[in-house]
Order: sequence, then structure tokens, then C-alpha cells
Amino acid sequence: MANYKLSRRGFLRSAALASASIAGGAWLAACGNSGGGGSSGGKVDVRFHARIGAQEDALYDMMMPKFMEANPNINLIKESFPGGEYPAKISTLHAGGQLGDVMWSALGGALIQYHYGQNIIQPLDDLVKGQNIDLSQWYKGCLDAVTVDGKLLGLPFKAHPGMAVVYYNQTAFEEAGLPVPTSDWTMDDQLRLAKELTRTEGDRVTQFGYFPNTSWKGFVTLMRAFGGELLSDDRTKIQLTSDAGRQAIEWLYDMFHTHKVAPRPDQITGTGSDAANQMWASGVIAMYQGGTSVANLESTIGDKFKWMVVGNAKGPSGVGGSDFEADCFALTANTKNPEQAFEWIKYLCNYESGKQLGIIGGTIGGRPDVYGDAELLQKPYRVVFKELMDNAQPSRIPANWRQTEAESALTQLTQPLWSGEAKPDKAFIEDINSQLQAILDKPKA
Amino acid sequence: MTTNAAQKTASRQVSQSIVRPDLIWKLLAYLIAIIAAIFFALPFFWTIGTSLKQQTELYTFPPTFIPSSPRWTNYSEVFRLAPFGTFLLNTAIVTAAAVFGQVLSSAVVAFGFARFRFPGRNALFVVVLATMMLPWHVTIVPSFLLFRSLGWLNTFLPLIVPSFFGASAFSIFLLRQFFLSIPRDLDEAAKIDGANSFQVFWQVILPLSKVALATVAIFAFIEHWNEFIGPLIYLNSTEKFTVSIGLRYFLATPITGDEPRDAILMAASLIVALPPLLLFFFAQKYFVQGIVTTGMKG
Repeated sequence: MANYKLSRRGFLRSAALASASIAGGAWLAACGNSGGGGSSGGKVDVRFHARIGAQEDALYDMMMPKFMEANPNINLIKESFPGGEYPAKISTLHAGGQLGDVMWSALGGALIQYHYGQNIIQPLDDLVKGQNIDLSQWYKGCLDAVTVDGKLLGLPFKAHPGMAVVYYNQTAFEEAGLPVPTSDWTMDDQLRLAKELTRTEGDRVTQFGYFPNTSWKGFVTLMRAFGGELLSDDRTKIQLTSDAGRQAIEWLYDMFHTHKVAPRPDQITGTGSDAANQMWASGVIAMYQGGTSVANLESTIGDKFKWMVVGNAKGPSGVGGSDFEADCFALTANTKNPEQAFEWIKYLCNYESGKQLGIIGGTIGGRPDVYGDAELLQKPYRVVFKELMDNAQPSRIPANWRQTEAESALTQLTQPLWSGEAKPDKAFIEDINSQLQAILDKPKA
Repeated sequence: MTTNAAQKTASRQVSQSIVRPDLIWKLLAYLIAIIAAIFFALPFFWTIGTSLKQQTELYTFPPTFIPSSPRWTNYSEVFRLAPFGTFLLNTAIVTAAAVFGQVLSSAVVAFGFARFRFPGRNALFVVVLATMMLPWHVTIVPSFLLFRSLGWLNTFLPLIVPSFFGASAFSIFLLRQFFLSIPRDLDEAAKIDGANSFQVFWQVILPLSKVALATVAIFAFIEHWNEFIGPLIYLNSTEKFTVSIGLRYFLATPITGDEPRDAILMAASLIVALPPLLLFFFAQKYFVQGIVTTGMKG
């Protein structure tokens, strides 16, 4: 057995070790970063939080030196976080009192409503009014998207008209001897073309004619094509049991199972929510419904096939359906440098930044002058995007801000339809509707 | 030839013409093992193949393992599209320091539990083991608040310093078990020669524990190299990110609207997986030996 006997020397040695440990801990504490904004060398530090993304990071790296040269009293510090973990990271920083001065937010998932409800961001109305900012330089639909309870919570950064675009494989059309879709094509035209473009080898489909978007945003645009709305005017009621809702569900179901032009879940070879994009780039789909961000596929596809875009096929209501989608940069509630931070927000959301986003590739600034920029319009697909954006329909978020919850529920509840396990009968649609309504009946998130 | 010899020869010939049952079982076992190995290795080979493909080749059907024209530039793109070299360096620094701290502190604590008798020793050891049952979700908030009050946010300290305070109960347990298997006679012989407890630990026990220490080091290396939640929560600046966050640079989603980069993501994933793989291949002897040895005596 080992026995430890405390001698005088041992006690002194232990005491010295303990003292050194305490001193070392204090030194380590002093090494720590105090966090939060501040100043360095007479300049004001403006920390801004953004998502990691090739397009956006390229823009920040381009614009930050220019901004700091034009504003020598401001030092910008970029802190980018993975997109999927961005909300959690912001919440963590907020909880730890470590938030910076400027942060990205968005209409998607009612994120801006969440940030506002949690007092993470503050309204910009006073700054906008004080500096006589002309808000007409942004699309009204974008401004409405980032206005909550009558308060403007950010300046629009990027925007697009939602799932309003159909990407088509022009080479596949030419090989099939079919005319390419035009801006006034109808859903009947779309179905006919999709059937002609669906190819099979034995019992395996080698090319699908059309891959519709079955997410919440897809439903919004499709129901508008059928003359209805997914949410009521006061945004408290789900309207899947309406005529437009029923027609939309039946139309989608027929695409998958009656006409067999769309890939069922077991036939999808891509991954996650990006599956349609991936399959289309691989030439497995002739047409698919997407947003303007997919324009980045230009370099991915290269010479594999020719492609182009067109607006959604027009439904019985005479429109193809669209849904304003916008993100923004907002001022954090605890910023100590609101004027300097707002200067950076204005710079990020100005014409030059919006245009640069387009030159880099992807969704562009939510401004008419950017969408109508002559240089950007040299790309034929941007001509289509401009027309769609100029006529985009307003967005609607559930009144209780439970957008993400409702979106996930709709995706899960409709999955049996696309896989063929359920049919779109009245009982099934009413069941989906009631479950979604239960979410909308919950208190505000 | 005598009758006996003839009988023996006949018997040997008969037995050789019948396949031995144990040989059949051995062949079957090898076949199952080979199939299982291929099955488990398939995702890894798929990752290698995908990392060399063009983006448009990824989701074709039927899928292909071998790219039509290998695109080696995917690997250089990893370093062009993101400061991946910085991420690798940061990860190496954090991992090296954390592994050193974890091995050292775990060994010290394990020595105490293995060699010293004091009131409440067993209860304290149970408490240490019980910390293994705590999900990280429970401790992440108080840890964050602690490091925030220390002013350590956006530094490597939250990722390194806890390792120096016996952060891994599993490592402590593993080393304690190994130390128990070392005869106490060695301790007593050293004490007779005038060694104190620290000298016994440092000059007698540790040199005999290389296998177990290597095992702990390997586990710690893999844990800290792959850690994601800690860096995500504690680090804000891009130049401080580790590879686990760096991989997210290549995860294009419709949300960010980036060009799909699954092939480059696979290339980056292989780069990240390479050090632990190499470590395992070179140190698997210690790894297997350590696991086996620590399980022999309780």
C-alpha cells in the first residue's frame, strides 16, 4: 500500500505549486479576449455577422477595403458563421452579450421576426428618417418583407421572387424537337412538354420531364397560379382545403403518379433540399422549379448542355405565381456605434454591392436599379429575373411567426402524397390542413 | 509393404480426400469478413471517387465509382475557396495542446485513483465516471458562461485549457485500469530507493504505460481534431476557425445560393480525415494493445 506522509518540504512544495497554478490561471484570464465592439487606434470597430457563403464572402472581401478607405474612422471586423448554424450562433452571441454591431437577417424562416422578438436587432426608422434615406431605391416588396409591426428592421440586401423560375435544359428540348417555353406558357403546355421530355429505358426513367418544388414556397406560388393563397389575408388561417389548395395538391400528385413526369422520393438521386438542382445539373431532369440563386450553375454546367430560364407556367388565374424573398442587414440592439454601423449597412445594400453580387454570380441586390442594370442584363436569364421581380407578389409569414415550424410540418405531412402512400382525397387534405392550422393557432413564437 | 503401413497410407489418403470442417469455417469467416470490410469501406471509396469528379457527374444514374476524367484541381480548390491552410494549422495547434493536456492530466488523476487510498476515493471515482453520463447539452451553457466571464471567447483557450484539468473521464478510467495492472512492488522498490510519489509516477509508472498513454493520445487526437460544437460556439473570427467549421465553406445550400460544391466538399473531407487515418495506421499496434491490456484486470 502506498502511504503519503506530509513532510515540511512536501508541504512547502505543494504550496508553491498551488500558488503557481493560481497565478497561471490569473494570467490566462488576462490573456482572454474581452469580446464586444470597441475601438482600436482611434478608429471605431464595427463587427458584423454574416453567413459563410462563396458569393457573399467574395462581396465582403471586395467591399470592406473600399468602405474603410472611404471611412477611415471605421474598422470593419467580419465574423462569418456556417449558414445552417447561423441562427444558433447569433442566439449564443446574444446570450453571452457578445453580439457585434451589424448582422445579417432574412425573411426566410421568419428569422427577422425572431431576431426582433428576441430584442437582438433594433428598428432603423430613426436613422433612415434622420439621414433622409430614399427608400424607393429598394423594391417595396423587399421593404415590406423586412418591416415588422410597422418598423423597418433592416435594409434589403439580396432579394428574389421566390420559386417563380423554371430552369430548362435547352439541349434536351432541341434534341426532342420541341419549342422552348415562352413567358406566356400555360400549365397545360408545361404538362405536355414534360410528358414529351420524360425518357425511360425499360422500367427506369433516364430523364424526368419536370421536378416541381413541393416546399412551402412552392405551394405559395402554385396556389397563386390557381387563384388562391396558402395563408389567409390576416395570415392566421391555412387554406389548403380551398379550391386553389385542392387543385394545387392534385396537380402536383398527378405530376408524380398520374403522368409520372416528376421523380418520386425514391427516384431522387440528389441530396437534401438541393436535390432538384443537383439532378438538373447532372442532366437527369429536363425542367425544374427553383429560385434565382441557382444561376451559379453557369460555371458548374459549363458546356454539358445549354440551359435557360422562364417564369412559372401560368395557371387558371393568369399568373405563374411568385413570392418576394428578401434578406437584409440589421443593426443589433446592443451596438454602441449605431451611426458607424448604419454606414456599413447602407454600403452593403447600395447599388454597387447589389450589382457586384450579380457579377460574382447568384441572387442580386433587392433594388430595381440592380435588377435593371445593363451589364447584368447581358445575361439572358437576368432579363427573365427582372421581369419576374418587377411583378413579384408580396410575401406572407404566419401571424404567429412560426414559419419554420409550419414549413417543416407541410413538408412532412405531404411526403406520403409524393411517395404514393396516400392519395389527395378530401379527408387527407383536411387532415393536413388541421394539423397546420394547429401550428398557426399557437401563440406567437 | 506391411499390412499396418498399407492401412496407414490408405487412412491418410481417405482423410486428405475429405475437406476438413474447420477449413470450411475458416473460409466462411474470411468471406464474411471480406464482405463486411467492403461494405464498411464503400462510403470511403465513394468519397475518394466523388472528390475527383466534376459536379455534373455526381448525381447521374446509374452512379459511377470512377470519375470519367479525374479532376485533381478539386483539391487545390479547397485551399483557394477557403483559408483551409489556416484552418488546418489552427486545428493542429488546438489538437496538439489539448492532447498533451489530456494525457498529462488524465495520467495524474488516474495515478491518484490507482495508487492512493483516501476517504471517499471510491465515491469520488464513481462521480468522475458519472460525468461520462452527462450529455454535452447540459454542460455547454454553464461552460460558455464561465468562459465568457473569463473573457476567453474567440480564443483557443476554451478548447485547450479544460483538457489540462482532467476533462476526459474515459481517459482517466482507461489509465486507472492500466495502472492497477502494474505491480505495486515496483512502487515500493522505488520508495525504498528514496523516490517520492511524484517520482514514482514520473519515472516508474509512466515509462511502463506507453501503450496506454498512446491509446489515450489517439482517442484525444480524434476527439479534438473532429470537434465542431466547441469551435462553433467559442470562436467568432474566421482566422481562428478549425477544419470542422471550415468544411462548412463547401456545403452549398439553396439558402446561401452558392454553386454546388459536393465534389470539393469530398476533397476537403478527405484532407481532414487524412491525419487521423495516418495516425491510426501507424499507431494501431498501440491502439489495439492498449484496449486489450486495460481490459485484462479490473
